[in-house]
Amino acid sequence: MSKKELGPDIIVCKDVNKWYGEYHALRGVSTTVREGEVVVIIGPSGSGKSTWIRTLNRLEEHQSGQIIIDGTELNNDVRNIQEIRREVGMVFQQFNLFPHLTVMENITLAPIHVRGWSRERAEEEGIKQLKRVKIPEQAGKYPGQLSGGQQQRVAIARALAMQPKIMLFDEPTSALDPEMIKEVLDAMQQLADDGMTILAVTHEMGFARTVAHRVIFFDQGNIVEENQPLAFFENPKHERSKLFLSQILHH
Amino acid sequence: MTTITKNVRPPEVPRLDINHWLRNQVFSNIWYTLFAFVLIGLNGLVIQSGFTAQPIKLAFSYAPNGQVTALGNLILTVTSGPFLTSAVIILWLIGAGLVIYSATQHRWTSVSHWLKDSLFTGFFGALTTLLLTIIIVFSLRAMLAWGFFGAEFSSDPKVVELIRPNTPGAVWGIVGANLQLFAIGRYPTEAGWRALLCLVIVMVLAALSLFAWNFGSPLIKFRRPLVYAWLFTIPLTYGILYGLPGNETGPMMVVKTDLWGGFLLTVVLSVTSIVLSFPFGLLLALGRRSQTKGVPYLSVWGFILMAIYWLLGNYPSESATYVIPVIFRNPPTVNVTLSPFMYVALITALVVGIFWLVGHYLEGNLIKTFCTVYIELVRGVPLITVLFMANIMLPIFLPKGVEIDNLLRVVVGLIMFSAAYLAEIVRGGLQSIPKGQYEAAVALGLSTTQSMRLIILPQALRAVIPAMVGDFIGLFKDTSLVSIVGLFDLLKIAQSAISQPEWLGLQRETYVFVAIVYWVCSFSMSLASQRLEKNLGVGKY
Repeated sequence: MSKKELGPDIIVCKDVNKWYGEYHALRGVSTTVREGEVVVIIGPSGSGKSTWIRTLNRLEEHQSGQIIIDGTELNNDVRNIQEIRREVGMVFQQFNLFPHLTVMENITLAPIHVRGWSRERAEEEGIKQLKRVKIPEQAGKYPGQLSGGQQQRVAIARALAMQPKIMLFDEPTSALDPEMIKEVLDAMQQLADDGMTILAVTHEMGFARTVAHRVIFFDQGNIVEENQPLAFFENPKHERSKLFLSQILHH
Repeated sequence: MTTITKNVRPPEVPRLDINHWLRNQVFSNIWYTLFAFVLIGLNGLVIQSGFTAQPIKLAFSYAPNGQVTALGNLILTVTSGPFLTSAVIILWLIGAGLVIYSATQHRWTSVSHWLKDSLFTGFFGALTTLLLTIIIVFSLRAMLAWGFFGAEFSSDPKVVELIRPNTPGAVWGIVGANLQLFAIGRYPTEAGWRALLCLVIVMVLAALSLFAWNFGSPLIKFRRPLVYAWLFTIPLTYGILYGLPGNETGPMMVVKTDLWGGFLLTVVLSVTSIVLSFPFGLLLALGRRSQTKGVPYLSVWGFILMAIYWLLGNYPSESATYVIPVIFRNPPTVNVTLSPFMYVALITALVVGIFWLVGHYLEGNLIKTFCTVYIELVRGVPLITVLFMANIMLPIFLPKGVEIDNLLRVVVGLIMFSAAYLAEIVRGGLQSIPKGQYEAAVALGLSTTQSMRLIILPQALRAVIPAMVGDFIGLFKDTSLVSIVGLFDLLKIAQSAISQPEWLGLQRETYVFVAIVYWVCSFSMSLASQRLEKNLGVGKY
């Protein structure tokens, strides 16, 4: 595990709260993530881990507290939101590829319309990213013609083509057949090796163990425990994380 | 292998056990038995009336001396009731025999297999086939006898006047003689080329669009220019049809819209309302799904400008004097005189005030409310009501001195009506797009407008093409309702053609012709939509 030196803080959350009506979904989440860090977020379902990762690019609004991404605060200012979304890539559980566009059009859409690149430059970047996830030969196909694993890798390439500083993964392998999970995890691991800042909500404990710098355990809308993966898996401190680990590991 | 084949014997040829078959297939219960008797009875009736059917009457196969020619004799023989009925029965018997033979021998050819699957599916299927075949054959015979064998095709009124009493079928002359009337109504003949030009422009655009929206078409780059061309065509054709102002005669003479008529008017009305109701309906659909709370500033300014325009138009020439009663009964009055400036300022303040109140205290979604109310209101009234409103009520709301052409009023009414229906169709399409598509788009940094335009709308609209084209076809046919507000569209022109003295009483011919024209246009639209659907669907999902 050759982990590079980590950079300065790139994500800062201070006392982030979110309610869905009466339901208190996030209860004062505070943490920081450093540049180049790989953070894996685990926890039982409904614990708020997905909600938290979605507040980081304003897919969900937080009602109180402070989120600062790469020096820009997330607030109601649309320009700030747009600026942050340009620098934060996201990969979804259900891939969410655009079915009416080819793989290459999926990837070049945002660079052309958001970054204002020429089509040639965007396609050059697109091919580069497709090679990075090892499917350059699928560029002309439509998403419906690809397997789940290929679709998720296209989704990763689509996010990477915007050259983001941070990548968010929201359960990227949960909708995949077991044999396709590896190809997606390999792509994520390669990203981590290249020094990308990664926040991933996942149930892949193997990935957490080998790739992550830090594991964050969520329960009932807050961070219960965070530690280096070895320490966390071998010696969980909190009762809740002990119970969770015993349930998923001894099964 | 050999041990298996040794035990297989050639299949026995089963005997046709009529009793068994009748008991199990035909008379298995009381209802089947009843139905069988009803079918047999109906077949008997139809066959009997087929054999005793009157021979058809011919109009054109008589020789000059009144004798029937050889061709006429042949037609009379072939179309006679006994001949047709026996031919159908013989063919039916051959088919039934083939199926029974194949069934008993277990030998199916492609023909007998098809017959068994489609025409002779058991006892009831076979009898229904016979019944329907005879009915269809005799209906066709009657149609041909009326529209062709017994019809008179001359469109010379003098000839027709002599021949008509002896013509047993249709007199198609009314269509031939009135083609120009059907095409352009009372539009002047010397400017008729302009109407033709407009029709050609629309046809060429339609053909180009059909080609450009083909998958992998070389014209794919011209899709956007074509959309603009359609929008530009509307004022252009209006201009061409209206002529150059100031010209009383000559090729570019002014033709007032009340002279436009016939197929020309139908096309003008339907193309304009289809092309313009689409963007309007789209906006309404998006508006009804709008999440914007409060009042958008743009609409405030829009309403202020509209109010100012409306009020300046209504403002009396000198100054506005209002008599305001102070006390309820037997009031002493105060006269207030407002300068135009004050007048406008007062109304502006009123508009801003209302919007401010709504925006700040009700915190409602004004756009959504407006769109919902509009859609439900328009969908709740019949088109005829909307047309009457456009024709009679609209002038009341307009400022003094502003008059809008009758045709324009009707077009606005059609657009408003169609847009409400279209909005609901588009909204259905928008709701079918999963939320993840929008999230993925904005997560990439696309703005709300961009994600709508590039991601959501292309998918949503493709999903509702059949419903939208259905709406457009309905609109095309509904343009025939404009006759009640005094416009002479194709149907109304047809009615006026019937009342010409030399063609009196020829409703059937005229309405059949009009129906064919409507059908050809509607069916072309339907075909185009099927093509579009297929072409836009390649490689997806």
